[in-house]
Amino acid sequence: MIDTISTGINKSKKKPRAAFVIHRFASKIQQEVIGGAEFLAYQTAKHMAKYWDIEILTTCAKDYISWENEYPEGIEETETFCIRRFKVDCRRNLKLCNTLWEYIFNNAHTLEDEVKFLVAQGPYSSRLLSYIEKNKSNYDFFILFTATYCTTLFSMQLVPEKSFLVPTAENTPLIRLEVMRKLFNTPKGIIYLTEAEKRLIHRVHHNENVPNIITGIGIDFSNTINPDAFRKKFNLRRSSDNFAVYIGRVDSEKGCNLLFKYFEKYNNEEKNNLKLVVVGPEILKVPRLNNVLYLGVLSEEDKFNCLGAAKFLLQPSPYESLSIVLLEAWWAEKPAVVNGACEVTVEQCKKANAGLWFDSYEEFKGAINYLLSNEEVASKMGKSGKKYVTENYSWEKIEKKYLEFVTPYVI
Amino acid sequence: MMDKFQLEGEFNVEEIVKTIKRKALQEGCNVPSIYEKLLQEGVYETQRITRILTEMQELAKVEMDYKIKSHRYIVGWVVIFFKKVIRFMVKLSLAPIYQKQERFNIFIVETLHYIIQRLENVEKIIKKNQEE
Repeated sequence: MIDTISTGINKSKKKPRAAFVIHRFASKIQQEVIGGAEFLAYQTAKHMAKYWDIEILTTCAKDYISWENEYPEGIEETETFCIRRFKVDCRRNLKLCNTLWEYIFNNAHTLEDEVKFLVAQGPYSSRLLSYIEKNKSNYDFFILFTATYCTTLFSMQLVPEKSFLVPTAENTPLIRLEVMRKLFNTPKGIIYLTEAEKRLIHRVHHNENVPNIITGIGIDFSNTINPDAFRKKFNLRRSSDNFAVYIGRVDSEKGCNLLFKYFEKYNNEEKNNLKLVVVGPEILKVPRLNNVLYLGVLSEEDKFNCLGAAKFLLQPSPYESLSIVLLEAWWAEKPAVVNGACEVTVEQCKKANAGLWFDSYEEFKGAINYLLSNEEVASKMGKSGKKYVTENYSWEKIEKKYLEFVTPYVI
Repeated sequence: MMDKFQLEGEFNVEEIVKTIKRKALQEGCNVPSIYEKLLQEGVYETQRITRILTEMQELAKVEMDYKIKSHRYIVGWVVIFFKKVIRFMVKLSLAPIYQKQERFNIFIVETLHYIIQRLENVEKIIKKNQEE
């Protein structure tokens, strides 16, 4: 437990009131909303509720493409925090959104054009913003999640003096918009997830003067991993069914196009019967190939059992601010193969000494073959990964970091 | 064919990846260099700078003798005449300032062009050195 002296928070006092602003949120996070930032906000709220009186200010949207109002507007109480939802003004108009993006990307444009694009990208909720404006004095501070959504951009303008930004920034063109420069130079403080994310934002927006901290995310993963239960449930044989696993949103943005292309080529060339098990919501169609097994969204228990049964994790995403699934794989003592284009995951692999990376098909093949033919090293890598996760991603440490960073601005 | 690496004692993923990369290179694979990765990252900025520069080039010249029009049918010619007179008078006093501004604009655009060219040359040299 974190002592009250070092954190500066006296338990006899009333807890500081915090508002977490995020584009979408679910109280049953694993079953309903799948997304890294949402998971991070959920976990942070769950753990920081011991020290802060937390309210989640979010929209009624569930689907990140349409932003359809699916949750009822109003307050939802959970055991640890309260969720206050507001209706989104309109669904996302994909055509308009793409047209504006094409224009911005290909033409000299104004800040206003960029703001128009962010509003079109959504989820834009005037009710949420008007609530923040009217009630900002009721909260001691705001933590805004994900830089590239308009909920964050506009909320920051309303409460710059008491905002902390958790950018979850990925190395995409979106992060390079001019409007982001102001966003990254405005808050009281920035909470980065990795060293690489901080380097990226400093490089692009030169906001070195803004106080910041690197927290990462804490883990409280399952300790009971039963690979045999997974094999039995999904009818995989221990002896002949070697498989690699991909877990996450099946989407081209997450590098799945590349993964399927490379894996098909690998299977045609190597013929070693390695299977690819794909877990997660299907935005991009999973190719129906002999050695590709699509399981859809799994429960937490099945997911960890799946990781336990897999040879290794494949994480092809070129854009990550912190890969939670990588931490999950290491927790299950499995090594990983990641995309060399993603500075964040490569850095995680180097630090943990628990993963390889590729920049071409030949390297992809080389990394897979290395892990398959050097089982002892692969196993050591998995163990090294678990050690790294245990040492660096405990909630106790993360909580302390949050408190030490935020408290001086609150008192 | 599977790769078998001999590792003595502790292993290091960076060393393993280096070995895999070396092998991939021997197999004739075109592995992107650090330079190419950086270039890839900077490609959005470079594209944007080039676009902005093209627009700047068009705006650099201060056009004083633009065509004067009027949408009025009957008194249109009177409006045009007066506008021309006013422009002539303004031009007399402001011409030196316009010319100076135009020269300044052109210098800026040329300097930016020059910097971008130098940058491209440096990039070419790095690429050539890496290939060698």
